Amino acid sequence: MSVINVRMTLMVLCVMSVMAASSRSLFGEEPAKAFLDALREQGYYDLALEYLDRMQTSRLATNSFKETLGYEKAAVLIDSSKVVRDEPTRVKQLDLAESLLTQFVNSKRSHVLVSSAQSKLATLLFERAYLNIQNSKKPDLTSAEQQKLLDSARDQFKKASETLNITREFLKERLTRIPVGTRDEALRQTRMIYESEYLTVRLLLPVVQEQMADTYPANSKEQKELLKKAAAEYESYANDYQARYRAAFFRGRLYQGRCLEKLGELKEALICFNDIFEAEGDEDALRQIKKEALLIASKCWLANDPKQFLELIQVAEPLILTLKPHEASDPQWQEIELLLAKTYRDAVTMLQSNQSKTASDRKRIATYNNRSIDVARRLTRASGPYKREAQTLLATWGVGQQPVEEVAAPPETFAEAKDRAKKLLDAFETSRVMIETLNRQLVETDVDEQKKKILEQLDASELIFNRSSEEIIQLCQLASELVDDDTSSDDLGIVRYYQCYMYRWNGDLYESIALGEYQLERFPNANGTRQCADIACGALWQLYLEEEGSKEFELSHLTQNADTMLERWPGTPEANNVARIMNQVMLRERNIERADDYLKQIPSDSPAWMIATLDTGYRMWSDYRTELEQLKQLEESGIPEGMDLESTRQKLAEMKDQAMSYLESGMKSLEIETINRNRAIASLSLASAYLEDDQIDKAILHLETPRVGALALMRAGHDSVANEDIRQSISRVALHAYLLGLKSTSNPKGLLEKIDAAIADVNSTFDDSQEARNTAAAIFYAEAIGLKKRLGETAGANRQSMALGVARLLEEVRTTSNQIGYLVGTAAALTELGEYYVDANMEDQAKIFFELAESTLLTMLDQEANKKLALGAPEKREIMRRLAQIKRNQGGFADAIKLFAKVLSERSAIDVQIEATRTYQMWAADQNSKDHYAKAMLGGEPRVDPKTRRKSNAIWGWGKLAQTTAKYPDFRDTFFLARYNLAFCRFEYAQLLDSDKYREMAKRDIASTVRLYPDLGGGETKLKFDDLLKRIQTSLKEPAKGLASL
Amino acid sequence: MSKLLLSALLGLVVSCCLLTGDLLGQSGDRVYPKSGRAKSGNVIRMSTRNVILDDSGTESRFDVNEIKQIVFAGEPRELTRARTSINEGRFNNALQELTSIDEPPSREVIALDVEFFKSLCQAQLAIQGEQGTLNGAGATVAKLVQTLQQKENYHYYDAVRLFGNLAMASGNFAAAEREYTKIAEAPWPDVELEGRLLVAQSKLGQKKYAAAFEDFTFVESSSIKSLEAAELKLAAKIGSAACMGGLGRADEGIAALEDLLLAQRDENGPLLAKLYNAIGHCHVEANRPKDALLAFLHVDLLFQQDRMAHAEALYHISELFAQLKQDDRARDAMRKLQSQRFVNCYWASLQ
Repeated sequence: MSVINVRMTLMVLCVMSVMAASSRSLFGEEPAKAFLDALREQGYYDLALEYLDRMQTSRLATNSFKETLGYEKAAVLIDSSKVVRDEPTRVKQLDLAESLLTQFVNSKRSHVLVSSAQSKLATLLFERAYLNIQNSKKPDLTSAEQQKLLDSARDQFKKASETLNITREFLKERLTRIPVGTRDEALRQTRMIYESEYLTVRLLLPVVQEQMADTYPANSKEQKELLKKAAAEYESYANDYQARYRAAFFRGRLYQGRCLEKLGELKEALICFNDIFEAEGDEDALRQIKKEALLIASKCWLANDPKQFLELIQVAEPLILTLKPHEASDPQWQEIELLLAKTYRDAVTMLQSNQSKTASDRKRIATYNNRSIDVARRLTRASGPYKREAQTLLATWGVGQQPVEEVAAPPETFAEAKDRAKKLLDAFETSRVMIETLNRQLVETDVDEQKKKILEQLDASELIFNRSSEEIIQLCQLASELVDDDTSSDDLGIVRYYQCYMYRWNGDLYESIALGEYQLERFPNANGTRQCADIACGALWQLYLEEEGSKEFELSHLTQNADTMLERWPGTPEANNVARIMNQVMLRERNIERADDYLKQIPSDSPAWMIATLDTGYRMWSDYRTELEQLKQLEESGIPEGMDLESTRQKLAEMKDQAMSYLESGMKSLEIETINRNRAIASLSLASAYLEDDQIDKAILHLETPRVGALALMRAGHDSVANEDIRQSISRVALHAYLLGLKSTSNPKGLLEKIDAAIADVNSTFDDSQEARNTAAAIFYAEAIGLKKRLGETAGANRQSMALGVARLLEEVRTTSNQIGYLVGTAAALTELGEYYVDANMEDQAKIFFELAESTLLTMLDQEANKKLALGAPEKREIMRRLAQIKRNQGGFADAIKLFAKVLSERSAIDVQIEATRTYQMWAADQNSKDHYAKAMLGGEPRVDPKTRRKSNAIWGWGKLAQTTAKYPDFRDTFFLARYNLAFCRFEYAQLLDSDKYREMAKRDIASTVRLYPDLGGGETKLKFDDLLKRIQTSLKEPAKGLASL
Repeated sequence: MSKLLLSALLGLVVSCCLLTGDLLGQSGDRVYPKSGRAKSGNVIRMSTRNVILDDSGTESRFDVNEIKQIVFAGEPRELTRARTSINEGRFNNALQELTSIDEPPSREVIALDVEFFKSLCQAQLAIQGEQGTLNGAGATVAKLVQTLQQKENYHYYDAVRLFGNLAMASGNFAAAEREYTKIAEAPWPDVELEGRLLVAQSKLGQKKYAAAFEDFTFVESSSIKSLEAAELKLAAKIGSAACMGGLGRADEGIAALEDLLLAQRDENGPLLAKLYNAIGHCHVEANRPKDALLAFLHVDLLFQQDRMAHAEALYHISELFAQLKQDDRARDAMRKLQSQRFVNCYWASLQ
């Protein structure tokens, strides 16, 4: 059901009420109503509201006008809300309007405008409810959010229904006051108005019920009950007015049938529609109702088994055969024509399948075949949404192009030339579609005979196509020569449009530009000029895109044409198209401001607006990213003097917000049919923007939006994302989004599954070569390390989910890459994950990670041994070190010490020394071993140095580490670490021996460090020293004063 | 303003039907006074102030301000038809008639009549933006004023007024003031009253608020009682209220204008346009742009009949929208002002 129809009905109702109320003089007072209406008509809603505010206290306004201020303000707000693009503002306005109308209705019960206010209120509620239903269908809503909107819609419908009931009672009461046969003319008029309002309100009541049914799930009990109720009310309405108002009766039956069809009661629905179809008369109003009924009835006939083709033909045929000229261009009538053409063919198939065909059947087959062609051909000649489908139908039926009459003599008048050009143009268009369809069929068929037939048809169509193309231009030129005094500029404009169109089609761009611009300049008001200008601009845009070098010509001509078109025909498809072109041009010229100006000239409900908005948003987003990168580089290399960093950042933030706003607006109305590569990238940019803004859930929802989301497009294999780079970008952004989503998800299992799918998506964009696999592994590695860094940002279950996410990625790297750096890094990261699980007291999980890390490293060593991997000495040392760490983490301290010693005997390195010494300390702590504490302090694993022949410890211990690093300022942190641990190990050693002597030594370790460096490295290091000293002092039974005592 | 002028000019002509009937049996000149019966005879003398008619030895003297029309014996039929067209406001037709006069008129006074009416038509067409330019018409009328003064012709004051009107229409308020001052110095109280009003309006155009206010007040307080004088006084009241805006008494001015608005009992679009423009002007002076805008929009949306008043309103609307940073609307108003309707219009030339 169209809400527009309901809205229009309500508007009529309101207008009638106002008519009854507004018989007043303009003079001797402020012409408030007239001025207010004029302001509204101009769209000056803001001023209208200002004016009403002023009228509240103005001595110029009459008291009667002041009484209606609330009503008028609500009316302005309702009108204004229709042009407000920002939804929150619109909702706010409608809220206020609703409140004002309610207030008016409640406080001015006897006012003449009260029924109009009630109707307005009902309309408002109805529209808001309808809007909520529409919004609830948005794919990015959760089911709870959808339900909330549907609940609101239901409440609004209920309120609308209550308001309409009040209005009905009000009108009923008013009608009882005026006698039916009154001779008083004024009373008679008023009664007529009230009756008409009453009629409308009665019809609207079930309309609300019917619409409210949509707020419940399909086929639910509630939905069915509401539909039944609505059907019953429609029936009662129809019956009540059958004798008095024929139109009301038919309208009631139509809507009753509509409800019954929705309920699946097709037979009953058809009974209602038959009442309408059987009605005699050819007036427009009745034909309109028949048309609406036919569109619904056809669904019933075709839903029946067997399908009732003949019934459909029986009703539709006489209506289509008597189509009036103004109806021929009505898309709904054209829809019926198309339906009829198809049904003729279906009926033919049905009749042919009958084994025992009668002579009558055979005659009908021939007739239906011919009529289907006639109807389809007529559609191909009209302009409208079904033209192309009709052309395709003809081609599918294998119906050749209707031969264009061969006329030997050239046209002698302008009109003859124009008519012939038009016929040829229709033939040209139809043959173009036929060629496309036949070529498709040719590819699809394997049967030689069919192929031969198709090829014959193709030849015929191509002949017509090629011949028409040349002849149309010749005829147009001839028509121009035959212009005489009787030729109207409108007819000439149409001929020029044909000519312009054909030039463009033939690739004669300059000719089409010249002719289109000439027409625009000389005959701006003639028919066909808009189309000519549109074609010229299209050709200029093509040149702009294709030509190399200066674009001055294209730019200046496009700008001039566009400005003229936008001024003359704002809001038309041609003006919208040229604004979109100019938006693109300005974006390419990097003139965002002007691009934005042109964008603003495109109505937001036009398809061109969505395209331009997305393109503008994408361009802004690209610029933002580029400038952000530049800023980062500057920050790294040093900010130039005089540069205002804060304002640059501010500017960037604004750019980003603006880009996101455009992208979001454009995405709202993006349809699958309009998606191309650029729009898919724009959509992906918005997901990236959300991620950058830390709006992870939004990013995921956006990527997954059914049909049009970037991820959905990729998985559906849409052409717009066929390019491998785009697919890779999409899968990477999706992977990144899912990984970040782990931080706060309530469904980690589901998200991890999505991560697996995204990993598979990324892999699918690479081939099987080792090089490609390494590249993919590098991506996973970077994500893993990034995510690992964020582990600290959350806790509990989400932290574990994130760790699992990291593990999935690392597993991918481990099993696909042969890059030593990444593999070692992976092992390190797996080790860290294991340590994380140790900290979380999840030993089993920790063990898995340690084993994986170990396996990674051992595999590398195996591969090296088998000469599959070439490892240098430093790399081998690194592997050994990592292995030692893993052994240590698994409690294999002895093995770990051996590995560390092996690494260190080849080459000593401070970081390895620290890890090795720490291993002694951990071992000591694990086993309460004073010997291992001693080794942690003094070192172990003695070796003979091959160069000096002197014996020394391969592992230094904290003492030597402190001694060695003391003289290097760069190693100061290591020095403090070593000194602290030396004192710590000494103290633990003392505790195990219960020796005050060693406790004192531990105290001295700290005191001597303080003497050298009183601040002890400051911060946490100093605090640690302080704590340790207090422990030592306590165990020595001294006051635990810590560092203060030294 | 233009309505006053037109009525004054049309006072010089009589309706076609009457005239044609009279002319059929006419042998001499015929003077039609504003009140009373027409007199026939021979115009034997005239000056810029009066005309002497001799009827068989009896001389009758007519002050110029009392003369509705003079029809001269032997004047071309085209001149007669032109007067009819002027009477009906069809200046194009009148001009066509006048330019089609081939033979030179037999008397100088008739030739001057033809010249005067030709200039009148050209000036009116230029002021209405239908044909020619204000400067072109101004040059012709300036010459004519000189000739009429030299020749002591009874059309002199009418030509002076016409020249003033052209100067006003082109925004040359100082020149208009000079010309209108001559009218204000005429020896007849009713003409003087009209002159003072015109002078005041030209001063208002120059933003000489105090001086203009004084002249408007003079007109308002005049003791002359006639329909014409009442109309002049009403125009003066609007003018003086507008001056109050410029003199820092905007609210007082608005109150006076609202009183006038509430007192209106007839649909008089041009008058209402002037009233709302004056209200808008006061709000502008009081720096209340939105109130001013609403006032001027009354003229643009409801009372567009008077071309000049409409142009003035559109000019201010465009300025005010620009001031309120509503550039699209400002441009729309400007675009309207640049349409054909406002060709040769001073306010359009300000854009």
